[in-house]
Amino acid sequence: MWALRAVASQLTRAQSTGVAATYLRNVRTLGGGMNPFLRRNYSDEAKDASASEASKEAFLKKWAEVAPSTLDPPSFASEFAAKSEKPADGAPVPSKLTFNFYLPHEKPYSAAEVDMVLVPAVTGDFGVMPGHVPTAAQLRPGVLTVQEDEGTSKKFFVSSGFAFVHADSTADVCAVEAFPVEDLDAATVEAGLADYTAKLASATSGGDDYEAAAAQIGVEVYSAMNAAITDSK
Amino acid sequence: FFWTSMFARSLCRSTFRVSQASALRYERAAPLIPQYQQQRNATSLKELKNRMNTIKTIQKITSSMNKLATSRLKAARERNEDLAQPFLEINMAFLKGNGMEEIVVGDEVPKTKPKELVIVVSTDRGMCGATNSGIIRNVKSLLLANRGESEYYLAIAGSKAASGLKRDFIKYYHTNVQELGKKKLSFVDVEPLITVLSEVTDYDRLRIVANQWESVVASRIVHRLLPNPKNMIDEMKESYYGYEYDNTEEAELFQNLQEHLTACIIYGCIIENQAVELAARMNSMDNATNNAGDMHNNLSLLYNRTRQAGITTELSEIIAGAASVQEQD
Repeated sequence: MWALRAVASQLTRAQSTGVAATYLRNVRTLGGGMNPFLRRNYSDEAKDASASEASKEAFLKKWAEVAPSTLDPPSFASEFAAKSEKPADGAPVPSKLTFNFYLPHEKPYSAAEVDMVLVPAVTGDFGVMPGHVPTAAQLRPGVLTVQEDEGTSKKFFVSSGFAFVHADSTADVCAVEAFPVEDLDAATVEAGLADYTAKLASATSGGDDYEAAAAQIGVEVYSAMNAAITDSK
Repeated sequence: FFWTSMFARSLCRSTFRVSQASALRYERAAPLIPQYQQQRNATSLKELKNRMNTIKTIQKITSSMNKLATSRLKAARERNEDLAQPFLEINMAFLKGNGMEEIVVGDEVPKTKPKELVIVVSTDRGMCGATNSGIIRNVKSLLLANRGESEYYLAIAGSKAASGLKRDFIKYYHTNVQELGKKKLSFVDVEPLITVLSEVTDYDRLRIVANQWESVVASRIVHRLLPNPKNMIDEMKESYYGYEYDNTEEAELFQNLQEHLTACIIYGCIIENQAVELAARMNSMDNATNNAGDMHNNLSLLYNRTRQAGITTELSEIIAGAASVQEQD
């Protein structure tokens, strides 16, 4: 899973900081060794929306030369994706946050008006209220708290994912797996934690990177579940 | 006697001019001798009957495929509208129309050719109208449009596009993932396609080609573009997205972000493609059933006319023979 890979990549990078540091240095100074002309095009075009229209026209022209006449040209995402609307500078901040919480198999919240959301990000928890600066954050296994009104708040344990806060006081949390904290079973969590701690010990001594990464993830997740249970007591 | 029988046959021929085309076809097979004509009629009748039975069987098959697709379509549409569309929307929202269109190959001659990773979403089973053929033609045109200027990697979901593209573009072919969504699609199933992202790291941008649901009778093909995470770093990110990213290590964050976006978009596209496939299959099998019915009706008319013409021929021969015997008396 990409989540596995994500943490795995973090782990392996943590183990080989020397390589990572040089890589980042190269990225910053030499433009990442990427095609310089392409880099220039991206940033230039991003600043100017009409340039991307022009590039689309150019693509469609080249397309029309080779495509059969009965074939429709493809559509692009910008034609149907809603344009982001930055609110005017002096506009008042909305009183409630529009919150979307999506999982691949269900939607716990869809365009719900809530007061605040506490997001467990990799860099630490942060709270999202209306008027929050636009952010994109990676989630770690932890508890997502949704404060709907003054009194009611719901807690969900999320495995991993991403949270986006947009400029118009909308928050989107897209998680791979999540469920209410009440559904956590203390006994299973303790058993799992012990199991993965043992696996981690054996894997690090054995020297298999993949196994070590997987065990590390297991330990992280179960520790977070443990913390969630103890917090909610 | 010979003259009378020939005259009788010409009379018969004038009566069944309608079935002349098929009758002539069968006539070429056997010489125009009276005793063969009866045999010919019998043979042609049997062949016609065979053909009619075949068409009836085909009609039953297409009709059952139509009913099956119709029954599954409702659930697939609901999954698409409730899960896939919103999922796609919030993950595409991050790239909300921010200039992710085609990059013009500029005046500067690049040192290396731009490389693109193309992820193609298709189905495993056929008989679904233009769902797969449209995608295949679209991707072929894409690969031909920039031939010589760009390099491509093809990661294909579904066996139909793989067989359609492997032959002409084997040098671009990278992976094929099949049997996606045979059981209910789960998020984990897109993992083989995401591992391609870690195997192929030197692409400049990522393009996902998939069908988009418009209505029960219509769909269109959409290209969704994502940049290489290495291109998202530094000055790119601010002008590009206007989002803040805390203090995370940017290289990792963008790698993870891009994997997340790709996985979610592919997941949504596959669910959407399932709905498009079922609707197309429903429509095409419905048309096939109607066509088979029409063919069967036409053949049935032809069969009856041929049969009646045969009877008329026999009757006229008997009558002519009887008349000639009477004359002799």
